[in-house]
Amino acid sequence: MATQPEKPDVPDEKLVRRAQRGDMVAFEELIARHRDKIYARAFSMMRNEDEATDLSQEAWVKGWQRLKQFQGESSFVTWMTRIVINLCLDQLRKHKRQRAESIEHLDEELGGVERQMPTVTVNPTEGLERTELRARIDRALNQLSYEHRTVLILHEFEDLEYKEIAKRMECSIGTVMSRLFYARRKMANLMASYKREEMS
Amino acid sequence: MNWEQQLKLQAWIDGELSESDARRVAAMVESNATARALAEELRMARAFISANEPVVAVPESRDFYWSQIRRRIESPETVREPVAGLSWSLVWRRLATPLSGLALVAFLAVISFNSFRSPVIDDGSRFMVEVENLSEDVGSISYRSQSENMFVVYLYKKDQDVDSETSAGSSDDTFFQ
Amino acid sequence: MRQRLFSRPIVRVSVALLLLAGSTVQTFAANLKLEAKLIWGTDDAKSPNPEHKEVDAATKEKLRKVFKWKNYYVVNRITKPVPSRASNKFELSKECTIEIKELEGPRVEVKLIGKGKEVHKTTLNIEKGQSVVYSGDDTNQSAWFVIITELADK
Repeated sequence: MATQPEKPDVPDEKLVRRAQRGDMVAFEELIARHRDKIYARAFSMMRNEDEATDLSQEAWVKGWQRLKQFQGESSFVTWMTRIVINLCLDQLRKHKRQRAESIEHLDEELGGVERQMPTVTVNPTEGLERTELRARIDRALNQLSYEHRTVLILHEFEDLEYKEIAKRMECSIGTVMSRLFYARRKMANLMASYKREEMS
Repeated sequence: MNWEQQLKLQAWIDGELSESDARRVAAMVESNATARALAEELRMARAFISANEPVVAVPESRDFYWSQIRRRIESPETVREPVAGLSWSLVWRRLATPLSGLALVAFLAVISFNSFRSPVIDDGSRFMVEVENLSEDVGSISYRSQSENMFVVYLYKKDQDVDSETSAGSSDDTFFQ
Repeated sequence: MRQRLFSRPIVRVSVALLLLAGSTVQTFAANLKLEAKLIWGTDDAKSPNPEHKEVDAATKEKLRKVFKWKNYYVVNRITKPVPSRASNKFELSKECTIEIKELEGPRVEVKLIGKGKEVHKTTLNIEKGQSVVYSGDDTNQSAWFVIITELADK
């Protein structure tokens, strides 16, 4: 059923209060305002359109169910982002169960090759248009393992501290540091290689 | 630079070090060209990634996207917490039947099996693991093997060189004495 | 006049049963029975100590799937209860002790104490069938493991 859009000047807080009283129109307006952001976070983690759509919708359903627990300590969109991240992490864990797991795999996952990567001294993003830069970052993110990509997303996009990331990813702070180090070095090197491709 | 120093350098860039550690790393960066280059690269990567999050939009129309969410919300399996406005007596009356049934089932189950533990709090906390190194000389890598239902904490001495960190190197320590 | 949905006695009995069930659950929350095993992992076909028995086949298979060593020998095994909201120590060897504290819900705090010093702490939910494993390198390309499991109630 189509709903009447709310005026854009109605603040989120007011819509949240109405939704907490059971007003679905208000909740739909909140979804319309923030759905791209929530979907984008799911997509950046899952790298799959269908899964991202499904998980972002699931996040909104959970948001509705838990709306009464939202006390406004953070913004509504931050709260919703946390929900979708947790759903994605659960989903990624399910995927991971399908893979062979061993300490050797862990070693690979934690990196090791980053120690052989050359240090990137020239900024590979210089002179790029923002759209092109974002497209390249997206391409590079796609080449990381989910563990490395997730740490990067939680740190660089969500601005979470090591400790918080470790809790979310159920690993030690040392593992977070190691994965983040690898992910950043890999990203820098991938961006440099795209730059070289462009020059040649 | 060893592995520990490289990670500390990154932690310094991320503002995650104590003041004394931060001073030590700053001094190292000042005096060591390799550390300086690595710090530059890490800073650069952090800057270009955080400022340029890829933009994507939901590939469905507003109405269609909402209709799917609404269907899930309204499905019988989806139960929402009761909204405000219901009086305690009404809530109590509504809950009386299921509560008395639940009480009976719980009572009988406890009596029969004597095997209850405190309930799981919720799904979110179920998998939450907090790990903490209590020794400055020991590092750890933790890992959950879902297939073997095992949570592993692998400990290593921090002064081991980089390449032996995650391999079975020789160690003077043994727990078997 | 509205008819009462439930008579007072039904409500009273329900409340009494609920309270009784709740208090009984509290009582049984104390029963956390854990087993801690100190295990030596090696590629050697035999343990130099004849008293060390090979781990059972299921544990061996499980460990082999996660770790690289071929053989695993039990050095020590301790089974103890951990009382509710309290802790208990499992002294597995002169150098290795595990202290386990029961926290709220199915959560436990596991502390590894090596040579009398606290080395590492892990706080997590423990469930039947799940193992918490501490491991590290030992001499001659071997490794030590401490495996903690909750035992099924008997």
